[in-house]
Amino acid sequence: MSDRTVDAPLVSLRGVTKVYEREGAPVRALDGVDLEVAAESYVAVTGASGSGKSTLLHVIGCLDTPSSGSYRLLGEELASLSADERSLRRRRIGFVFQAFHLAPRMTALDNVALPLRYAGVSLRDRRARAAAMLARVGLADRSMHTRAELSGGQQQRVAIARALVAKAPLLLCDEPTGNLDSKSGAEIVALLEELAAEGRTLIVVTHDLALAARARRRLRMTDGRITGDEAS
Amino acid sequence: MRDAARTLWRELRRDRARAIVSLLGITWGTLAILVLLAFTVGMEELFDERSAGLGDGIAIAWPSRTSKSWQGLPAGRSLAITRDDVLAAGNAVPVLDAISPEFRVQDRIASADAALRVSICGVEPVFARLRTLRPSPGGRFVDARDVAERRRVVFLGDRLALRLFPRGSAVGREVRIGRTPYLVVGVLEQKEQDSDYGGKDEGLAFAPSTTLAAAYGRRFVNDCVFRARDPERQAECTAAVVAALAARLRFDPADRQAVSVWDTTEQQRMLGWIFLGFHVVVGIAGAVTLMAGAVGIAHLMYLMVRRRTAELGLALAVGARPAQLCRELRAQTLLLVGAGGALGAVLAFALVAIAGAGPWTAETGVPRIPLALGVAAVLVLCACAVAASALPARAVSRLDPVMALRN
Ligand SMILES: Nc1ncnc2c1ncn2[C@@H]1O[C@H](COP(=O)(O)OP(=O)(O)OP(=O)(O)O)[C@@H](O)[C@H]1O
Ligand SMILES: [Mg+2]
Repeated sequence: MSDRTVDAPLVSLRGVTKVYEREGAPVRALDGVDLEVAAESYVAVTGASGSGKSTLLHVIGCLDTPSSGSYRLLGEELASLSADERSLRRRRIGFVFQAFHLAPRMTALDNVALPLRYAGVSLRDRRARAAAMLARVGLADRSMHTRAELSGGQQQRVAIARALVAKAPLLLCDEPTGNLDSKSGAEIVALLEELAAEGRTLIVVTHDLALAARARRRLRMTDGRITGDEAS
Repeated sequence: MRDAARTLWRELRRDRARAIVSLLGITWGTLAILVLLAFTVGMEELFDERSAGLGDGIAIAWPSRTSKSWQGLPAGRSLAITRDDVLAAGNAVPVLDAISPEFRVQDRIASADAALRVSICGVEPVFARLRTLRPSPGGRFVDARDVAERRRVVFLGDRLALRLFPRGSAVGREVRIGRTPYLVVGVLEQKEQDSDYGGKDEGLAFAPSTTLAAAYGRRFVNDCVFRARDPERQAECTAAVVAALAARLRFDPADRQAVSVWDTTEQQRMLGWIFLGFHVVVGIAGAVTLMAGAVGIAHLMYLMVRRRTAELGLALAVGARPAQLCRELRAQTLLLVGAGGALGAVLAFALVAIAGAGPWTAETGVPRIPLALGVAAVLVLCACAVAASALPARAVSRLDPVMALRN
């Protein structure tokens, strides 16, 4: 593709806005966001409720399209792609949702294997890879459990395993500890740190200051803008 | 495909009653289409067989009286046609398949057991082929040597044979026609016959044309029976036969009254049209039933998509393409329709087999599911599946992953 450059940052947003209509009035969830994230970064995004953190993550995760502005992933412009093409780009991105979002009637193993199913991996291979990934997040003995049989922390680890299984270079987490008690939260924080140490690119939205402190770069969002950007 | 099937099975079990009702809708529709048409097909075949009982695509011509003057000859002349005239006319018409003169006499026929008055037909060997006169096993029809040597042999209608020889076979036995002894060489195999000219074949006797003409001192035939090679060209063939006779007997070939012709293909064609209409009406009735079934399936699939919204949103979020999900949905619909249709087909074949074995088939014909009907049913079912998956597939392709996950 002509607009792809060799040394492009992994993620690059230029003047991205996202406007929602609510009862006829426009809501500017994102308001001119410029952001570059290099490969192998560990970025935390903080901000008040309603400041646009989830919206930003959805745009980066290719789950949502910006109302205007440019979004490049690995140098490729994604704003103008079709729904099918955007699905294909999502395979390069692991997404961990605020509410876990495990499919209720599937086992932990099948939940983790789900991204591989649509990538055309055979049943045997995807079960093997999913089992390995569950072991990686410390849930080898829970693979046949369904959502109802897992604790919140375990569900979140299953969700992380699912985001990792397709070997996506970019991992996006929306409040990974938000719904967990402090002990489970600490386990997840440790897991994310391990993943960052392995060289994965992480962008983590969080209210959890302990988690934010572990990141190497911290962004602050206010009313749809990035109002703080500090590295450590 | 396996994943689609597994998901379908899981979802169907969640709402068994609706799943079964929807499936049975397709089953019922398939059953209706197949069984109704199987009956009309069987009935058409029965009618065809009955009309072929007189002869398949034949015409019968009787010499009559001229109505126009021709080459100095006055109108109102009675025509008399010899066996040679008929055979010569046959040779002159290339589109002809076969032609046979027919002499008819009334006389007493007697065996040791019974005696009765019947019509005896003097005919050529091809008459058997023209008029669907099949000998029952062990016998034969009049053959070429019988005709050439004027043998006194006779072929009996099945009912006539039974009257004359109530015990045992008639073949090889002797009957007397008038005072003359004849050898029975064959008996008609029982057949359906819906029309005749001068008695059904089951009650007639058939002898060589030459034998009968000599025995009764006849020169002129009563009628002749013929058929075109191509049933579509029967009218042309008839005109050619009349023209050939006109040339030999010197009458105006355009004189429609000189020879009166009964072209049975006309009524066969009419029957064909009537049955075509019948098939179409019945087929539409079946298709409407099937469409109602398809609506049920469409509804079931739509509910399934609605129930699985979050799951489908998740699938999109982890990289499923909308086209992939639509394809899965179509496969699932096809699977459902296929299962319902297969069940309907099994029931239809069973029902048709049972209906085809009963004593009523003499009036209804033997219902049958021809290959073309099976293929058509499969195509209609596929169309139903495509139609039934259209609406739910649209719902899937419009899913937005973020919105879908939110509920
Ligand atoms: N689909 C939508 N339709 C209308 N408004 C929306 C929609 N999604 C988000 N918004 C609005 O956009 C703004 C940003 O929402 P967003 O979910 O990004 O906030 P957030 O920072 O993630 O908040 P929280 O910390 O509570 O999760 C909010 O005002 C929200 O109400
Ligand atoms: Mg949020």
